[in-house]
Amino acid sequence: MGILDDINKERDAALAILDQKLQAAGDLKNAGALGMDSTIEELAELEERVAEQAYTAALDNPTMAQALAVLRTATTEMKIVAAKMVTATTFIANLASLGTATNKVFTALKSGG
Amino acid sequence: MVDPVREVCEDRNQPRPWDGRRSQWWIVYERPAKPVSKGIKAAAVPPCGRVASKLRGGPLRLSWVVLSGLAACSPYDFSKEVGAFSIGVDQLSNGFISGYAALAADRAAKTELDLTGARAKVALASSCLVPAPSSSKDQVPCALFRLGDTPPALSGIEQERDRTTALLAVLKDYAHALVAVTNAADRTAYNAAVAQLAATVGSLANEAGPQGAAASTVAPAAVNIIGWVVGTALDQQRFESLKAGVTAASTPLANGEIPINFVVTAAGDGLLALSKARQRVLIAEMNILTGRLGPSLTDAAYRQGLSDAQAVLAVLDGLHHADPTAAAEGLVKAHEALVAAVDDPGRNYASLLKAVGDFRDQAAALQSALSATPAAKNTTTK
Repeated sequence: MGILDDINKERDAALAILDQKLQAAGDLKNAGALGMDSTIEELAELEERVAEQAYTAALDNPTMAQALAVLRTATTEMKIVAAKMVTATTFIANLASLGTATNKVFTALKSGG
Repeated sequence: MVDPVREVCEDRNQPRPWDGRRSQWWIVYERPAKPVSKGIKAAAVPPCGRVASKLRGGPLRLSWVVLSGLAACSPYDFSKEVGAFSIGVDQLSNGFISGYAALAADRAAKTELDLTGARAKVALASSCLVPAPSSSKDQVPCALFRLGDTPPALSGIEQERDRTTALLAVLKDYAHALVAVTNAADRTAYNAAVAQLAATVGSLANEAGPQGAAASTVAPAAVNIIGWVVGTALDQQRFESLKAGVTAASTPLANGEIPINFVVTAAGDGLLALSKARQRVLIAEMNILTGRLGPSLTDAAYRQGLSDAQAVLAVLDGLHHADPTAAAEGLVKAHEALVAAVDDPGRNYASLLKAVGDFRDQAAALQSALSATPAAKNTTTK
């Protein structure tokens, strides 16, 4: 398996977390929770950026083996934060933390760790 | 029923009888020359069948049998599959081009909704006043935006457009070169096709790493004068060149990357990024449209708003169903199946048909999803 596949595996893990939260945010919106439109748009933007960064990382630095450990830690952190986002209140309260964790994914992809 | 025709295929591990190398022997294959019955499609008949027997005899006798049977392993049997493979690659490339245009249209539609709803004052991006930079990285969208807001910027995938386009162009060139080799009608066309294939395999290798040596393995096959005179050698050479081309493209480089897989996966990543960029804009558009729907609207405005929202939803749903990563994996599998089939057609031909068929379906679905734009015009206002 090439480095590209490793990067994509982590990307897909990050996207899966964000997908799950997008769906949950949609459910909360439909249940009447306020502020979910912007939450959904922020999550969609995070997805776009994860996909973008994984792509450019692969093209810019396909030998970024050292980044993978950092990348894995960052996706794990995303999972931990995402697990806290259950109700509308905790969802909105933790959205910034999820953004921070996702930013670590971007940083790992961008800097090669 | 048709009588089986004895056909001869070269065992590549063994030298040819006429070139004086040692340990020469030939394997005779048997297969029906035409479909056995109406119920069996010609395409399902593998290029070479099971091994029937070893051929024994002197070099002269061997040569005649070999010459009469060289067409048996001809690339004609693969031209349909290689053609389908190439069409699929074209669809991925076309999907990116039209998806890129659709993303700009999505953004314009979303801005229009934003501005119309608020009756906002409008600004013109200053980039509209000067010629666009040649590199996609430096471009700024020429667009209207709400006065006082930050001017719109290209998304990451739009900035990387040149690189994605280049990756897809390399893939397309490679697929077209495979088609050219399998379809070369005469010696001149064949020579040009082999040169084209060698160059494109080199391009694939260069994208995957600094080691571009894979290209050198695709040398034009040596001309067989006797065979050429009787018009049989070209078929065999096309087959050998196809085999050499796909094998070289699948041979790992020193960095461990397989050229074709690397380029396909990277191109797939670009297509995924484009799909996600469109999804983000469409979600924002959707939020605006659904947010406007309510009892205060007239019947006509409500209907129009609902119709607009459904049109956006259809595009969004299409993007969710067409998976660029899966399409890229489908392409990799189709190529692997092609490598396996040219190596052992009798055993692997059916797998090739399935893999190419699956890839074509995925590529068509992706192209369709990336090209789609909301049909209705989003003009609903409160």
